[in-house]
Amino acid sequence: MVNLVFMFTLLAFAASAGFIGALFGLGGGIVIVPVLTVFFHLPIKEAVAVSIVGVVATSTAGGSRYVEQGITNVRLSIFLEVATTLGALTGAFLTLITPSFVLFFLLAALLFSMSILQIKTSKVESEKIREDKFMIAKEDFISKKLSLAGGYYDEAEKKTVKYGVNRSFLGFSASYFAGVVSALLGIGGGVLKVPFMNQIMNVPIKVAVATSKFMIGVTASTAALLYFFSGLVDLVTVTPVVLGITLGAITGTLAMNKIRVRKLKLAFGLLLLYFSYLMIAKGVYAALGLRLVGV
Amino acid sequence: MDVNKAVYITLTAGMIISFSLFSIGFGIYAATEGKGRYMEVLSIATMTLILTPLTRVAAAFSAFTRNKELSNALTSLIVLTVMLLSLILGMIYHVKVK
Repeated sequence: MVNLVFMFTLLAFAASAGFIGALFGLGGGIVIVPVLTVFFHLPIKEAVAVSIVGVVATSTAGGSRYVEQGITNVRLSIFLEVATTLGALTGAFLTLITPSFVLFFLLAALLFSMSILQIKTSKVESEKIREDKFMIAKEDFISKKLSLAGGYYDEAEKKTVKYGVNRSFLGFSASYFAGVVSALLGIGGGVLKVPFMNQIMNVPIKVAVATSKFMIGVTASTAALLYFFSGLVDLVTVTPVVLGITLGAITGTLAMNKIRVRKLKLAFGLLLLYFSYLMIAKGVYAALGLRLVGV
Repeated sequence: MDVNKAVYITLTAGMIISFSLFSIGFGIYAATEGKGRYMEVLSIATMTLILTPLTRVAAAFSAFTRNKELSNALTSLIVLTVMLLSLILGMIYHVKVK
């Protein structure tokens, strides 16, 4: 049955997901999966498969824009991608054997912890940029060997921010975990990668956002290939998602570098908090049959 | 060619091609009320899209190799291998569920 209203509504939702995803270095799956399950009543596994293709689209569109703007750290992304692709491979298989309510609760717990982290560190970040504290980090062996240090021009702070990358191995391990979660929950894993790069590896938030945006395409496409060949991707649902998310991502990349770091992190934290609640509510419904407000 | 330029060109090309194909598929679907051959177009669109990141890693590998950044070339080669492994495993799994 042709349902154009359904498709255009989905396209509009996807566009906002693409916009938000570009601002925060996420795939937008964190918006798409709840929207597909809560508002469009799709089973979570189908929602995950559609979302992961959308995540590839947002990363391709947003990623290319950030490379052009010179914010993305391509060398850092390739290093972390080794771990993240291995993680995605593990996660894609786990999805096929894990019950739905476990996925909901996992996502809720993850969203909640990241939300608190973002809100708590929002003030520190802008001070670090103003006082050039990103530059003084001591680079480790891997960071030197792969020339991971970099710099970008921050349009909101009106200055070039230079930074060194450290604790590469810890970041590498975190990236594996982000890959597992990515495939398991249909999110790009940016929700983990941005804070990991930012807080463990001394990468400024905007570079973390751009680099995460760039990386998640690789993570997601690894899983997307698996889902596509398993026949889990519904092509009619995926079309408005891809079209909307691409348009949203392009718009979002134009806005991101103009926003003040503190506001960026604060808004992100609050958004995650809301979706954390939505996922708890869905999980409770899947496990116990109890409906909470808003579901 | 600089690695940034190589990945930028690959990503932009992938985005434009897949977006156009999805638009055409959507157009056929809407115009024929779901009776046209939109599924073929959408399948190719989806394939083009999800293979773009793979192509971009290959482009980075080739740029790193030409610029003699051997550690980074090796790293991108590992990424490419894992991605291809996923593709093969996906195909095997598909055969199994059938």
